[in-house]
Amino acid sequence: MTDTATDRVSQLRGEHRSRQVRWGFIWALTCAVLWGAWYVPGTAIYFEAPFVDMVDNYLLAAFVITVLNAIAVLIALFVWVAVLGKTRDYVRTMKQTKISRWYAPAGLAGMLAIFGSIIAIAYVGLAFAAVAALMYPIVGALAAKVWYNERITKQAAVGILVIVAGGVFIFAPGIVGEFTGAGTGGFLGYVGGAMAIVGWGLEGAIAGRALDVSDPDVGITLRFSAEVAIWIVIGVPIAWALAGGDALWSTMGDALANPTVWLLLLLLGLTFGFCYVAWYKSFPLIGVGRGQAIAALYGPFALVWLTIFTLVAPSWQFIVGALIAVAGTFILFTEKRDVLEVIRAVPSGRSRTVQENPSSPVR
Amino acid sequence: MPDVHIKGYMLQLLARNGAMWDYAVAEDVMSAYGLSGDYWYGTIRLTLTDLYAGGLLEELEATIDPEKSLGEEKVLFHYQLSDFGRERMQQSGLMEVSA
Repeated sequence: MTDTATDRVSQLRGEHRSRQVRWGFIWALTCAVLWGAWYVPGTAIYFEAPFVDMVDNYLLAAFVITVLNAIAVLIALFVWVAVLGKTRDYVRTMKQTKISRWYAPAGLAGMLAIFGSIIAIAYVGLAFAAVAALMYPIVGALAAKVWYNERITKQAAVGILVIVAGGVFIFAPGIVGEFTGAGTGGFLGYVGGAMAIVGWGLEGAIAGRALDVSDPDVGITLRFSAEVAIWIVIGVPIAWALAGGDALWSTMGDALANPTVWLLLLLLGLTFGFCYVAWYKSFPLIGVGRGQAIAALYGPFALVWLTIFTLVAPSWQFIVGALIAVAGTFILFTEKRDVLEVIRAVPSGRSRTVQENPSSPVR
Repeated sequence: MPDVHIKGYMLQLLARNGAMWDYAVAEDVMSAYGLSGDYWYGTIRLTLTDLYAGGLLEELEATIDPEKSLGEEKVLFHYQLSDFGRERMQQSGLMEVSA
């Protein structure tokens, strides 16, 4: 090959690999936008019958909404996978049990995270729940690094922490009041918050492992199949026993008799479903730690969406916190491309030449 | 048609054949699963990109050959399975028993 041709190849190669990384960030950002948008129908549904009259039975309302949300997401994902022509690949992947079985703990961790944040909202408060949920990328990045050597450089670690700090800053002012007002139920709420942090972080790390050998669109559909199965086989009987069968079924029936609930479920399914599609698509490209950190921008985005729909101006903390989070995003995005090209520190080929220098043993 | 899912089949193909060009992987997969068109060609190349980013594949070389990429000037990659990729295949039950 001539020198010009070689230059052209190396230029095109560079562009291709940059695109690879850029798309990883675009998917993660798409997830953040949709996750934030999910809070609009996710909040609105509590103001609809029968949930609006269930103030004294909040946990049952939350349970019914969470189960219906999971089913709506699964239906949206089935349509998505069919449109992509991957339905048969969904069945083939499910039959590879050494691969598909990983999506069960991923689904379990995710559903515990969702339910944990609902408990946190109920027993401590919305701000605490939001702050707790935003810290999950720390757990995800650590787990991915320890478990399969995901390359979390110093710059990446700083970026992740800055994004998390920005999100926490936004919601922190409400926390002090919530802590003092939490009362005796507070402990349960803190457990819920911990479930959100650990649950979403671990879900990402487990998914990152399963996505090595399976397709993201198929993988996320398997994960929600697992979640819906766990809800129906384990969650519903427990709720039935705790709430008394009649209360559970009548709430379910009243909810499905309200056309507005159907509309909100459609919106919940679309926003949450595609937020998760985007989340899973970003992991193979930029890694779990970075993908989760960018996705944690859902905190600021949720407030943007709620501002648009409620026309209530956000506080100054929001502006400052959002700016901090955006700065963190740039710290992640401006990392050297060759560091981001292969996200694992595996000792082979090209990646060997760009591995970080080992730290000096001299103290 | 293979029983295994497409991404698994691609890994097995690379494990069997050693190094392969991305267009050759795409041709093989499309004929094995009875697929055709730009969409599937792109989907398979994207899956290879996922595998490379995850460290399961190594890139040996890159080139341009418009004849192999539908007349467009696109970069083509020569890939082989990495040791990590082989390890993941073993853990996932994808490694075929060689005679």
